[in-house]
Amino acid sequence: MNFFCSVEHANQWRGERISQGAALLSGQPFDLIEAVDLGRDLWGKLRS
Amino acid sequence: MHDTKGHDKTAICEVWRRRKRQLPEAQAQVRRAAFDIIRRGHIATPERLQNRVELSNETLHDALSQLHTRGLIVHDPQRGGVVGAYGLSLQPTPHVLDLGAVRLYTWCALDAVGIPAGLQEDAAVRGQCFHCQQELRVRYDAGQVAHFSTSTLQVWIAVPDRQRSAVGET
Repeated sequence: MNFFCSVEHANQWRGERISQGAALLSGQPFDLIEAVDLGRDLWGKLRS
Repeated sequence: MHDTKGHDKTAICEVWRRRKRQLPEAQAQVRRAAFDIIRRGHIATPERLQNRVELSNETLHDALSQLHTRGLIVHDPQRGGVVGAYGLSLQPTPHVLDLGAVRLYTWCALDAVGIPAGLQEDAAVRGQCFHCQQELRVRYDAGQVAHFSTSTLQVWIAVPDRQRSAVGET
């Protein structure tokens, strides 16, 4: 489950999950450039 | 079973890298071919796929079946072929990706920001904040981020669940 969000909303969403007693999803908020770097690694081999 | 400990970013990246690598050769060929066809805006029909892989017809169809079962492609029988592969989709999703002149969609936010970077293409990504639905835009020049609409833009990335479809979890 990967989605866009802001820093503020990522923290808010995580807080709501905890307050609802829901288990934490095993995710982290990445800065855009961090996500782009991961994506470049994952899809770079598909460049033709 | 949910992971309550969480993963750090390094661990998350490594899980994604491993997941992208682990496919038998025939399935890897077919998924790659489907991705290449879809990125040009076309449905990956069996005929188009056959022209791009070095596999027998039987092996091709077996690989398609396996990929579909594992949730690694989206096959639409009514449209006659594969309409989603490797995160790229012809079917509308909340993540819009204009790749060059081709309007496409992606399964998740990581696909949306990663595919233009990996392919080193000019692109425009349009999505929205999961929480407040604010529209978010990212523009790429030759795979490099040239502009993004808000400085607080984040991408929430979770480890893929082996028990679930790659499509379903994104």
